[in-house]
Amino acid sequence: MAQYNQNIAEQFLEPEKLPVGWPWRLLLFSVFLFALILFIYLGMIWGYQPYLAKEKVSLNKQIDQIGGTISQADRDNFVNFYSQLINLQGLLENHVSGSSIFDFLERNTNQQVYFNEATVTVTDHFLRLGGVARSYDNLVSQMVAFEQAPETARVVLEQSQVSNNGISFLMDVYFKPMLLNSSQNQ
Amino acid sequence: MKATTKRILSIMVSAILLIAAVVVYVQFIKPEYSNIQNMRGEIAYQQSLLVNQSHAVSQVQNLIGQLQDQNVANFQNQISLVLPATESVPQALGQYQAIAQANGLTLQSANLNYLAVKPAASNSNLAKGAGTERFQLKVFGPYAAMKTFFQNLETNVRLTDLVSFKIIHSGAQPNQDLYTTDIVVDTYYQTQ
Repeated sequence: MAQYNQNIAEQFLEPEKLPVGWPWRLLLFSVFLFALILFIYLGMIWGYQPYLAKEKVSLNKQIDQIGGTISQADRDNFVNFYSQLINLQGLLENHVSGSSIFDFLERNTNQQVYFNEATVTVTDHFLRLGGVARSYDNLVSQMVAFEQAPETARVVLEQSQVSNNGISFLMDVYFKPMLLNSSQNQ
Repeated sequence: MKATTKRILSIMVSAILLIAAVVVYVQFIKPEYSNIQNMRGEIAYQQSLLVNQSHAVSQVQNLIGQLQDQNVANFQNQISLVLPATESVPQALGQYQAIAQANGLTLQSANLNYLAVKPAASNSNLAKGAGTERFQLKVFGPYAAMKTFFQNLETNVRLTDLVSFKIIHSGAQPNQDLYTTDIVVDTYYQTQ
């Protein structure tokens, strides 16, 4: 019984002692960690950040300087030439060959029909013809000839009436874009 | 001082230092690090901009060097005849008059309007648009000459686009080969 009492006393009356160096080691670690954090912070605000700011200023300066290496006259000359080439390319793509209408009329006009007026609007691919046909047969033949031509999209007879010379008429011819656009003709 | 008091004190100081370290990290280092990251991003962008600009400038300098070459200068002059760098109205009108005269037509009238500048057909903001001069011409003469006049307009040195025309038979007799033509043409110049 006396042996048991002694063991209980050892367990409860004398608590386990912390090693003597443990709090000092904790204190040293805390001091080291705090100093390290402080060092990093001070390094950032006094060392790295000013270095980056300096680097930024230097890059800005270099970018400003590089813009000035080409003279204003050379720049203007270059931009004008470049603009001319770009614009010319676009304009040539849409260049109009209006004289092909004359060839079209010469190929497709009935011998018994003559025109005394022609109006062309290139942007609308439109031709209005005023003329005289010997007879209505000739006028119909003329319209059929225009309709069958591959360059035309539509033919409309606006008006027709018997006159001294034959049948006076006003006719609208709508072309496909290929007739007037020189880049599509080639 | 008792040993236990020293221990408690050292543990408290340690705790305070650890908390202070966490506070410094959260309150100061983290925001500063964020600032630094932003600055590094800006610097990386500027460095790439500098590299790109240096590359572009060297290419432009190379091209400018080529422009000063005699052949390219001649080519540039030829381009300027097709699309002049100024409005050059007398040049355009002189050419129309010369074409009419060469084909035996009479230029009876000529009017000019300026249209809005056409923006350059390019994605580049660098290219400037082309200005348009719209001429209204009235010419008088025979059919064959009129046809050749139109063909010559199309192949004229200075780029000319036909907008519209109206041909009216103007002979006293139905079989008299004389016509009056109202022609609208556009010609272009390079804006500065």
